[in-house]
Amino acid sequence: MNQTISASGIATTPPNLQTGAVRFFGGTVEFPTYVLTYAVPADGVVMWQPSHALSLCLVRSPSGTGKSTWVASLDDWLRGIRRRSEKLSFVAQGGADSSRNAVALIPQNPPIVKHWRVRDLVPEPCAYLTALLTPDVLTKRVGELSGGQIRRLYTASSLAKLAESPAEQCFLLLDETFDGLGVDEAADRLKRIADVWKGKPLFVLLVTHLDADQLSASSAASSRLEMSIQRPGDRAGTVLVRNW
Amino acid sequence: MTRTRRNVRDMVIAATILGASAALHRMLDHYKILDLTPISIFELTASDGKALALTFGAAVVAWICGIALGYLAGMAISTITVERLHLGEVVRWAKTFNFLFDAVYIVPLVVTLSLAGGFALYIDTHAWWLPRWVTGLGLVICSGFVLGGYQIYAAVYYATVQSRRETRALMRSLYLRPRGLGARLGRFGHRLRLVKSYRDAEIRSFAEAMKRALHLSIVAVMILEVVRPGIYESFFPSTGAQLGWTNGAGYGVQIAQSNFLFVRMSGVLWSVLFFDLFAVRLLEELMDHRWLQFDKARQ
Repeated sequence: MNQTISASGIATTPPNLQTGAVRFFGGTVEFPTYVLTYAVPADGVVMWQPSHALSLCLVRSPSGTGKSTWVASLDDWLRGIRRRSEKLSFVAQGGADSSRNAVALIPQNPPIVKHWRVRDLVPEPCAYLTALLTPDVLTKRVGELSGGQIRRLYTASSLAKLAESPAEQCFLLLDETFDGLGVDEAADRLKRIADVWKGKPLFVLLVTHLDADQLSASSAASSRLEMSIQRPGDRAGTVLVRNW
Repeated sequence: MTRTRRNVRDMVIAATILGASAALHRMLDHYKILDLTPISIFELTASDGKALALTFGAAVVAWICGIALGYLAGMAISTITVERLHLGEVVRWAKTFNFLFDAVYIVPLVVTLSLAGGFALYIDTHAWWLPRWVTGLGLVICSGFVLGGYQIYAAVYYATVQSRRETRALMRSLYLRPRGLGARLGRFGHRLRLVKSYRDAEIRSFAEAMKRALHLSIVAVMILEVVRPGIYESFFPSTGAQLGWTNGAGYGVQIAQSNFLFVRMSGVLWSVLFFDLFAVRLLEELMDHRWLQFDKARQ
C-alpha cells in the first residue's frame, strides 16, 4: 500500500486515487426517521488496487451507528442504482463506472430460503465453497445448515458469481458475515478467500464487531482511517475502517 | 401438531360429523332441521352427483389452468420490470398489464363472466368450424384465471416489486444456477431465475396464494354455472331432452333455493365443503413435501 500511516493509525496521505478508491467526506446524511453525522478526521479513503488480486477493508463501530445502512448505500452506488453519491457522504474515483463493477452484498440478516438446495447456489466444483464450508453441505438443503453456515454459503455463492462475471473489478461487501466465528476463524476464512481467488481484482469490505487489531494481525500491510458516526439523541460511536 | 396429524384430525372430525348426523337422523327423524346437516348429502340424486362431479372437475381444471396462466403472467411481467430493465416501452406495457389485471380483479366476477360468456356466444355463433367445447373450456379457464390466477400472479409480482432491501441485495449477489428452460434463455433466463428467487424468499405467501386460488376456483366455477346455465352442454351435447346435471352444482343450488328445496341445497353445499376440505389438505401435503417442510424445520 502506498499510503502513509500516522502514529495514531489514521491515514494522513491519501493513496494513489488513480487506482480506484472510495473517498469519504464528513457530512450530514438525512434518513427518513433520523440524521447521521459522519465526522471524518482527514478525508477517509477506502481503497482498492487493480494491481492487487485482493484488497481487504475492515469497518468497525458500535451497534446502531448506521454501518448496515452505509454499506447498503455503498452497494447501491457501486451498482449504479443511486447516482447521488454526495447524499451518501462519499465519492468514489475509479469505482464510479458501474458497468465495470461486479458487486455482491451479504446483508447482516439475509433472507433464508430453507428449501433451496445448496448445489443450486454454487457451480461444481466450487473452490469458494470448499474454502468456507465442508464439502458435505453440497447434498443438503439450506434449511439444514446453521445461520453462520448459511452466511458463508451465500458468501461462497457470491464469490462464484463475481468470478464468473465479465466485470473488470469485483466488490464483495460482507455485513458481519463472519462475526459468529470469532477472530481466529474469521481471519482464517479471509485468508482462504485470498488463497483461492484468482484473476481480476477483488475488493472485500467486511463490517464487523470483531477485534480489528487481532483480525489484521495476520496481514502484512495495513492502514487505518477512522470516522465517527453520530446519531443525535441516540448513540454516538466511531466507525473504524481498516485497509490491508 | 404436525400437518399430517392435523389433516388426519380434520378427516376424523368430518367423518364424525357425517356419522353423528346419520345417527341423529335415524333416531330423531321428526326434527326436520337435522335434515340440513351433512346427512343431506345422502338425499342427493344421481343427477346431483353427476352435476357435482362436473363442478369439481371444472374447479380442478380452472385451478390448474388459472395458476399456470397466473404464474406465467406473474413471471413474465416481473421479469420485465425487475432490476429496472432498460426496455422503456416494454416496461410500460408490462405496468399497463398489471394495472389492467388489478382492475379486472376488482370488477365483480359475475360481470367479467357475463362479458366473457357473451363473447363465447358470439364465437359459437360465428366460428362454426370451432368445436363447442372450446368456448366452454375457455370460460372455465377464464373463471379460474380471473380469481385464482390473480392470486398467483399477485404473489409473484409483489414478491418481486415489493421485496425487502436485504432480499434484493442478496438475490442480486447470489450465483443462481439456471435450470430447465431458463438455462437456454441466456440473460432473460437469468432474470427469470432472479424472479423465481424473489418468489422463493416469500414462499409462504406463495403457498397461501395457491390455497386461496383453489378455494376461489371452486367459487368461480359455481358462479360461472349460475351465469351461464348449461355450460357443460358444450362438453356433453344432448339431443332433445334437457339434462339437468349439465348445468352444474352452482346452478343446482340456485334452482333448489328458488324452489325451497333446502335439503337438496344443503346436500350440495356440504358436498362442496367436503371437497374443498379434501382438496386443500391434499394441496397442503404436496406443498409441504416440496417447500414448506424445510421452512418449518428447526435448524
